[in-house]
Amino acid sequence: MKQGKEGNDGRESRLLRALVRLFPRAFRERFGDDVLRTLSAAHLAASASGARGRVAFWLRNIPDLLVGAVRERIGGSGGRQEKEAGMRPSKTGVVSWLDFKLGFRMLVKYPGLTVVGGLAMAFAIAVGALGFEAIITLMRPSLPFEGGDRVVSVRNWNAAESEEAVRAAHDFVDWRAQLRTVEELGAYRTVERNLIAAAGPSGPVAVAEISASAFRLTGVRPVLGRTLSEADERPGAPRVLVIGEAEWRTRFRGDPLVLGREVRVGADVHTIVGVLPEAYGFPIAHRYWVPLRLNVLDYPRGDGPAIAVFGRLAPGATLEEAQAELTAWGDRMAAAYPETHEHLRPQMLPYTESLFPFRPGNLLRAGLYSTNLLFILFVGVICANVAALVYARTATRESELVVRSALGASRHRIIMQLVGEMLVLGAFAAVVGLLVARFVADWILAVVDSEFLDAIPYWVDPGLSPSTVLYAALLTAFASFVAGALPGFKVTRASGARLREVSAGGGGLRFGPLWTAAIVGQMALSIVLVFFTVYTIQLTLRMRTADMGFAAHQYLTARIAMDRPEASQIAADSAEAAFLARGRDRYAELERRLAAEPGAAGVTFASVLPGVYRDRTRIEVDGIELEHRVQPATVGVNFFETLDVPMLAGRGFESGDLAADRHVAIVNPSFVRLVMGGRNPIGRRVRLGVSENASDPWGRWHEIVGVTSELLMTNDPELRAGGIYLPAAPSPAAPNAIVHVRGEPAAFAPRLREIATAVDPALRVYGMLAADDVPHVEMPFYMFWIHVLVIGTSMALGLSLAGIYSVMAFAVARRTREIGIRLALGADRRRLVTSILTRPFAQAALGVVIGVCPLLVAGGVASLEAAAYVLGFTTLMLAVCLLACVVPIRRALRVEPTEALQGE
Amino acid sequence: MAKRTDTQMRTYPLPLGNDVLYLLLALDRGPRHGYALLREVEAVSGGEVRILTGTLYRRLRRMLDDGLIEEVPAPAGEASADERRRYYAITTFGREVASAEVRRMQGVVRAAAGRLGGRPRTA
Repeated sequence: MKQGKEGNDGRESRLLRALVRLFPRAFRERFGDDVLRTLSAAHLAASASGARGRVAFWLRNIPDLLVGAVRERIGGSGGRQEKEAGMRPSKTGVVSWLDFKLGFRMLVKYPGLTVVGGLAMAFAIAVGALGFEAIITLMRPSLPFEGGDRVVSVRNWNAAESEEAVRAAHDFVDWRAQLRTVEELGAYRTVERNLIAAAGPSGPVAVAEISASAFRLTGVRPVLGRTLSEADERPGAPRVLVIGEAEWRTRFRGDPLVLGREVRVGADVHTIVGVLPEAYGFPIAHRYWVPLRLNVLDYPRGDGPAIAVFGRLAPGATLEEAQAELTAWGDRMAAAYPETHEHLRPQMLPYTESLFPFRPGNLLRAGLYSTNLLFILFVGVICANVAALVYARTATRESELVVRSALGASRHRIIMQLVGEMLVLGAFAAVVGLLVARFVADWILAVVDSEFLDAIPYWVDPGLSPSTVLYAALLTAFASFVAGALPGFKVTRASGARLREVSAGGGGLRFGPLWTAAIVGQMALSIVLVFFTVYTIQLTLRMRTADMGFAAHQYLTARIAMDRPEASQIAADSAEAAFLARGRDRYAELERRLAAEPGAAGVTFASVLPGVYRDRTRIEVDGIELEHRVQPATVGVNFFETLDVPMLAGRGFESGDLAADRHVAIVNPSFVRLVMGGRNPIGRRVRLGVSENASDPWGRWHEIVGVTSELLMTNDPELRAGGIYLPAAPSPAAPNAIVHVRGEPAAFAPRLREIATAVDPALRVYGMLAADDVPHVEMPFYMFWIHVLVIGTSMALGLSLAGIYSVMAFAVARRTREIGIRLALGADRRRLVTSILTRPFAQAALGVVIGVCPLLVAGGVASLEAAAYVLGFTTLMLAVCLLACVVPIRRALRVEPTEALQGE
Repeated sequence: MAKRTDTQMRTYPLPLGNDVLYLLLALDRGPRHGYALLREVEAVSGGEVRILTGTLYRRLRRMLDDGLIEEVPAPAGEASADERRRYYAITTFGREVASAEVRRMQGVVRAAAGRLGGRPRTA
């Protein structure tokens, strides 16, 4: 018992000591022992009144000591009074106003460091803020209406197939009737349809077929007219359409009489009954809404159209309760309908999470959130670079620092002055960084929006959220601390002991091997970055100036799609066959009518347009599979004639080649060179892919009957691969129309749409472009990457060049005295200079070698121009090294030998 | 507000904090070590004011820096106590500041006497 009490006392006195250690050192040195004695006495007195007294002692003293220690550290309680009394500010302060003022002066005095360091920090903060914004946009999205956070998505997860079971029409009806924890249950699906208005442009649009409950759920108020109602969903009810405000203003020119106007949506005529606000896009990013007419009697259980189901948690219900109710339903269903529901696990998700293709588990969340660490690390790395610059600059003022510390400036003061300076720089950098992040966020959204039309959910706000701004502020504080404290600690370490060593020529400061390694690594990284940037720019330039292999500027291209009627899964195969048969008929009709147009000189179809990137596939020639992958395309029999591409050998396609028992192919010169090794391909038999499936048209053996002249196959003309063409009739499987236009191709575009709509309103026309613009479609995407690469590379370059300069200048400056002495002792100047330059140049060369190695391994320097750029960049870096050494070397060589010797 | 003494021409901002005033009053009875000060403050205030150790030493640091108190050797009578204990005594300046504060408070009390409790407020 007694032992236990002693153990207790030992622990408690350790705790007391630990608490006292929280006070700043200066305070402890002055009062530490006395504080402990007084605390012990108080503790002893409190213990006299038993356990209760001890507990009271700790409850009162722990907060008192913690708060006291913090206050003492942030400047002592007496700051105000001291100032008023005209006394010296507390020595124990963190960063004082004076530090900021001094810091600002230093930034003005060393503009090079300010610009390079500030830009680097701004870049790091911008990247960090963007990353954080992306993460919270992904992880914590909220729907922009009241109760948006209570909107849920209900879905069936097929555990056996690991995918969502989307044919949930029957279950949706069950859920709506049975679930008590979810209200306003509704469903939607997105379909692409032609919107054909009597006046104004027509063309394909994404339409949401959606339950009327969606509009009650979101509480949206129409700008004009009404939203959809349950009455609209009944079979036989008049067909109605609700449009978005933006569409109303553009497509219908803000017509105040738009309500009641009739427009065709696909095959059916609809009446416009409402206009919804521009900011509204539920369920995702929709601008057109029609009622969802779902007759479950048309389908067996587990079949029907693919739908997504949403609802709102009933008042008082939690997500867990809703999931429990749904799980119970799922168990009943699995027992009652094992053939369809055995593997189905119904899920209740926050609505915005349902857009993930898989369920975002805790692991994914943790993973996404932990990418923050990467950003912090990135900021740390950049700021360590800035720290190196600050260190090199500070080191040149070493004598001043030593004198200051001899005069009584504490190490703390010197470090805090540097931190203060970096905080000033960081504040500027943060403002710039956030502005850049804001701008880039908009830009990324715009690029994504143009790449994947209407893919960005309407609740994604392009601006930066307040939490991101706060996060950026924290990053800035961290960055400033790294960039200021790191050199501060290093420079002040044992500065007192160096007091004697220091003289005009140099001192005891040195860059550690770690920083040397960092500089070398950075040079390597910049070489790789420079290479990729140059490569991407070259690729883009090639794409811009690509020779298509035919008179592309005379041709108009478009992708033709056809509405696919909803089919039961059971009848899927026959429905597909019927769809293709109707498609062949409609496409053939379209081709016939286009060919009859006076403005068109010819028309043909292809599965892939010339100049569009496509996958390559395996090939067998006469039963032998080859290493080389080829680029296949199916084209109309009149393809080469229409494009006016001559045959170099053999014959072109004929209409007889479409017969079921004829399997012929035409190849291009690259095929002859790369696949056939230059031998005559005519009459050889080839098979594409590895599919043994006889119904797969490519899997059959085809006889090569001709060689065409070279057409651009991919978007990159440098990327040569064998091309092989198979004949096909126009159909949804070869959906790209190529029209030889008399005159300007763009002028024919409206006529093409008119004709397609006249042939069948179900035919939708996309992406009408002159053929020579086709390879440029992805240009914005490439341009975006080029910008990102150029900015990133310039940052890395600027930092590493500045780093190299400061480290080199610093290293040479350090040796001034040594150089002087060696000169005094009669050393040869040329050899001396060589010996000084050896080390910095060896480091630079090492960086270059490390950077070039992976490029050589990856075969990246294959491009001569790229190699030239890398060479040029290397020369630039070496020149910077030289420049960095010249000034200090000249100074060192001018040191009077007697002066140098006096220092010893 | 600030008290000006004839000898030192030093100023000190008033009012003093409660803790500081009580510490000065406690030290007016003679030098004390830390723990004794805690007890003395409690006694002087009639149990109304209880200072905790962390706060005590932060106040002492400031009072030392400001010259209100000074460190003195252990008084002869307390030889039996721990020799390493540090004793604090009030300085002349400290006494003057305390007196000034008390005078200021007396003024406040006088001003208040006629107003709040003294006679009913009538129009």
